[in-house]
Amino acid sequence: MSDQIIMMNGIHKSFGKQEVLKEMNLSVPEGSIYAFLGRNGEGKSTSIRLMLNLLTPEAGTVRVFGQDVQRHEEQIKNKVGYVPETPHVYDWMTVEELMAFTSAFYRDWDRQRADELVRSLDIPRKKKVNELSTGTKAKVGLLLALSHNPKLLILDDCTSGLDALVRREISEHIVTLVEDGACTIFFSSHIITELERVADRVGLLKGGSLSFEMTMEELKEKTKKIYICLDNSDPGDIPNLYSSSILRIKRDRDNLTIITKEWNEEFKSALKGIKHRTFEVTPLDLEDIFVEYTREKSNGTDIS
Amino acid sequence: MIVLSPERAKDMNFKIDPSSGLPIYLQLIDQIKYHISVGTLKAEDQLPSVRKLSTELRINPNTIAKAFNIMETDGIVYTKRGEGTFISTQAEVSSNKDRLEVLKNLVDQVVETALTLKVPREELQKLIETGYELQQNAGGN
Repeated sequence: MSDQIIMMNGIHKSFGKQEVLKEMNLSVPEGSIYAFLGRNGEGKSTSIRLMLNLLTPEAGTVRVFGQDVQRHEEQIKNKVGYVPETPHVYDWMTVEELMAFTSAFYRDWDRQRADELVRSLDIPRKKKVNELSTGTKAKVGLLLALSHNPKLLILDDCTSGLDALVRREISEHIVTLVEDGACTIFFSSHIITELERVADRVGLLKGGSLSFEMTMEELKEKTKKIYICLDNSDPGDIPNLYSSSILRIKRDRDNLTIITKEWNEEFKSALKGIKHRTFEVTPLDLEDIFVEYTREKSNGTDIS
Repeated sequence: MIVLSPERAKDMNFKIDPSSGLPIYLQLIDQIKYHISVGTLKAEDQLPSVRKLSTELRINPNTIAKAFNIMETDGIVYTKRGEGTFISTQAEVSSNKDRLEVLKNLVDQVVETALTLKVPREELQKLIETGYELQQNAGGN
């Protein structure tokens, strides 16, 4: 599909005996901001390197802008802006020298845009990169990635070590990029609260593939915490019947807490059928959802 | 010399809580409806652009566009090509219904809590009366 800016299908990637990605599928629609979540070491950076053809999978296909990354690498890279954790630059250069140097690699380098970005990101042009603070260095990374007007911006955990002010500056900058579908943003980060504001699509990488991939809205509709105070009753068979949609269940005498990933009317009726004193449905924020999905044990139950 | 040029669009103060259970676009619509019902937004007032709101609130412009589209379909706002999005005259008229809607949701919550706490109906009604008296004494209406 040409309206999926990134498409990964059936990806297998190992490093020696270590299988990192297993039957991994991922798709990013045009004009979206996609939040890519996952604990350290799950393979987020590996996935990104596959998108950039810096690594080759053992099996599966990676398409960017509808084209196979192995066959059309140069064409694709001209339209992609990549911001790694720390900018891979010659830090003895001044910002200005770095801009001139980088511009040579891009057909569509936009001098005016670059100058505008230096101003609005408040970057000192004449300073050497190694003299800049961590926050300003990160902004330089963004500057270099945006100056050729990319159609896809990939941010690989480049904001996790930054202070709130710089993170906000960067967020303010990138949100407007997706207006009118001009750009698509793929954002990997540990600052889940910031992602929650800007992302309209989320994918969680765990155990080699995505545990889920859907719109932010849908994720929040389906993932809920239900607290039931039982009234001398027993949940009976219900937890077992719905075990595949339960992330965690905890019973402490009359207090039953259920975290579900498939909240719907049917489940609600079934639970309401159990004699209870109170019945509360609480929404979970993105960080709560992340924690519940990543802490899930293989059988997902903890009835005490 | 500082020259303050009047902004056509109202400088609004929206508060978005991405971690609440309510989707962001609904929060935005609710807040705009609220501003209309209390009069801070009137018919023909211009809303800030999608871009401005997106930068200020650090939210995805698609989300804001969604809110604007729903409000346009519902007749609360209209768009003038090349100019922006404005509050419609119809919005002020239908805000009466919305005011009741806001209160109805709150009342439902209060009644449910009263039932859970086993507080009798008359006690709750007394509380409401007291509430009004307090407001009147404090100089409200």
